[in-house]
Amino acid sequence: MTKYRLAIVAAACLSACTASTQSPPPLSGLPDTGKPALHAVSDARLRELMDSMNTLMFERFMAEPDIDRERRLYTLKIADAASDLGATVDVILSRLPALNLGSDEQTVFRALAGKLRQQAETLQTQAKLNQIDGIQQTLNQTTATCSSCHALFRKLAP
Amino acid sequence: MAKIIKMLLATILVSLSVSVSAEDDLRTLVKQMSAQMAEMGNQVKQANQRIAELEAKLAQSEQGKVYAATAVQAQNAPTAAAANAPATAVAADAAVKAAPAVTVGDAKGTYKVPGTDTSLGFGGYVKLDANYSSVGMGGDKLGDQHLAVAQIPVGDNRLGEHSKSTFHAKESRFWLKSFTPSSWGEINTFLELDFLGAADVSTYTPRLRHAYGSIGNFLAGQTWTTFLNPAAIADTLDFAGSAGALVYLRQPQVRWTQPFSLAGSKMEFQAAAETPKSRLWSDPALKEAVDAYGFTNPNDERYPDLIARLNYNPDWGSLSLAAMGRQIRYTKQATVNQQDAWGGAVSLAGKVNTWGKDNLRFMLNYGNAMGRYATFNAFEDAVLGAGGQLQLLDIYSGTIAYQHWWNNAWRSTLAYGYVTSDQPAVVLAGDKTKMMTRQAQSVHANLLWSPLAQTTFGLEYIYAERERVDGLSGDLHRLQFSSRFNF
Repeated sequence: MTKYRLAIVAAACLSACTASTQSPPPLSGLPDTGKPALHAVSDARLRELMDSMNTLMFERFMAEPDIDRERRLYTLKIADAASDLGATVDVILSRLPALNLGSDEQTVFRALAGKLRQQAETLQTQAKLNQIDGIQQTLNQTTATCSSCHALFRKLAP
Repeated sequence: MAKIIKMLLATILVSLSVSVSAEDDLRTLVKQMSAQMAEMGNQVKQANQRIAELEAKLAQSEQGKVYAATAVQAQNAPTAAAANAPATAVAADAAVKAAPAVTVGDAKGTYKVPGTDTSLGFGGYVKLDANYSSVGMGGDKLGDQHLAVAQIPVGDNRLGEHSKSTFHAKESRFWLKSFTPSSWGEINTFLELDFLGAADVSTYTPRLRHAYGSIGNFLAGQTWTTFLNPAAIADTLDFAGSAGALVYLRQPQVRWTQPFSLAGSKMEFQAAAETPKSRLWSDPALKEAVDAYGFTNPNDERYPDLIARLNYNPDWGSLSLAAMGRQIRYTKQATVNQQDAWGGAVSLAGKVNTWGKDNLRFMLNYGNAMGRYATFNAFEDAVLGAGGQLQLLDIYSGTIAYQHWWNNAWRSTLAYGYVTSDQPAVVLAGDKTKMMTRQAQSVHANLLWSPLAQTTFGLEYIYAERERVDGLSGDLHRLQFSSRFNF
C-alpha cells in the first residue's frame, strides 16, 4: 500500500513538474507555435551577419581591400535580411485583431510596428550604401523597438 | 406578505445600486487610463520632435565647426595677398566656405578627399612578439622571430644552441588604401609595409608587403600570390604559420578576376601571370653561389609563373582550387650551360564555418615545381646535378586548423601541418651544415583575447620538427606572447 502511495506521489510530482515546464497559455491571444516569430528570425540573422562581419578585423592575413570586399558581401546579405525584417511588419500587423487590444493600445502597437518598418528600411539603405558604422547603431535601435513591443504586448517575464 | 415583498425589493434595489456603482467606477478608471495614455503619447511625440530638432542643430553645428576650422586654416596661411588685400581674403574665405567638407568615405575607416569621389584610408597595427624557444637558430636568423623550419638546427648544429628569448616588433605595419568609383568599375589602390626586411632581430628595415592597384576585374602590382587562398590561413600569432601551409607569398603580378554563376552559386575564376623565380639546389661540384638557406638563384627566368584559381564562396565558407604552371630555368653567365623544365602544382584550400563563429581551415598542396611556394624557404624548386641536368622536386603538404570562439572576446586556434618531399639521393652529397630538408611538421595552439576590437593579446605554443635528407632530425618548442594594437 505504501508503495502505491509513493508511486502516486511520484506520479503527481512528475505531472506537476511537467506542467510547470510547459509554457503558459499566451496572454496575447496569439497561438503558440513553439517557433520563433518571423521577425525574430530575421533579427537573429542580422545579428549573426553583423557578428561575422565584425570578426573580419581580426583576420590579419587578409589585405585590407579584401576585407572591404568581404564586408561589402556581408552588407549585401544584411540588406536582404533587413528587407525580410521589413516584410514581417505586415505579418505583425495582421495579428493585431487577435490581440484584443484597446484603441489606445492598438495605436501604440501600430506606432511600434511602423517604427520597426522604418528602422528596417534605414538598415537596408545603410547596408546598400555600405555605411557599416551606422548599421550597428540602427541594429541597436531595432533591438530597443522589439524589446519595447515585447514588454508591452507579450507580457514577457523579466 | 407585503412586508416580505417590500424587503425583497429593497434588497434587489440595494444590490443593483452597488453593481451600477462598480461599473461606473470601472468606466471612470478606464477613461482616466485612456487619458493618461493619450497624454503619454503626446509627450512621446513632443520628445521625438525635440530630439529631431536637437539632432538637426547638432548636425548644423558640426558642419559649422568644419567650415570654421577650414576657414581659420585658410586665414592663418601666410599669403601676401590675404595680408594686403582684405577684399581678396574675404573672397578666398567665401571660396573656402563654398568648398565641400571632409565626409565619411565609401569604405570602412575612410574619408572622402574633398572635391573628389576618392575615399582614402590609413591604418595598421603595432605588434610585439616575445618568444622563448627551446633552441636558438643561430646568429641573426629569421627563425628566431617566426617559425622557419629550414633553420631548426639538426645534429651537430644543435651544439652550442640553447634556449633563447627574442623580443621584436617587426611585424608592426602601416597601410594606405584608396577607393574610387568609376564608369570602368571600382578603382582600388593599396600600399602596406612592415619591418621584416632584415634577418637581424634588431634591424627594423621597412619592407613592402602590398603595392597594387585594381580597376574593375583587373589587378596589377604586388599582393598575395593567386596560388594562395588567404582565407584559409590559420589565425596563429606566429607570422609564418603552419609548416604544411603554402608560404605566405606576395609577389608582383597581373590578375584578372571573372565572377560568374554556376547552378545558382556565385563563383570566381582568376587568371594571373606572376613574377618567376627559380630556386635550385646545386651540386657542390658546380661551385654555384648559394644564399643563406643554401639555394642557388640563377635569376634568368624567361616566362612568368602562370596561375589559375577557382573560388566558390557559399554561405558556409569559402573553397578554392588553384593550379600553377611554371618554368624552372638555369643558365650560367659566360657559358653555354642552359637547362629548363616545366612543372606545376595544385592546391585545394578552404574555410568551412562550423558552429557559431567557429571554423575549420585547410590547405592540401602537391606539385613538382612547388618549392618556393611551399614551406618558408625550406625546399628548392629543382635539383641541379653535377652534370648540369635539372630534376624537378615532388612536394606534398597539408595543414588543418580549427578556430574556436569561446565568446566574443576569447578565441583559440589549433593547427597542424605536415610537408614532405622526394629529395633525390644526389642532394645527400651537399654540404652537411646546409643539408636540405626532407620533411617537417608543426603544431600551433593558442589562446587569444581581444577585450576591444582594436587590441589582441595572446599566448601561443609552437612545436615543430624538421628532418633532413640524411635522416637526422631536430625539434623546436616555443612559447610566444604577442600583443597587437590596431589603429
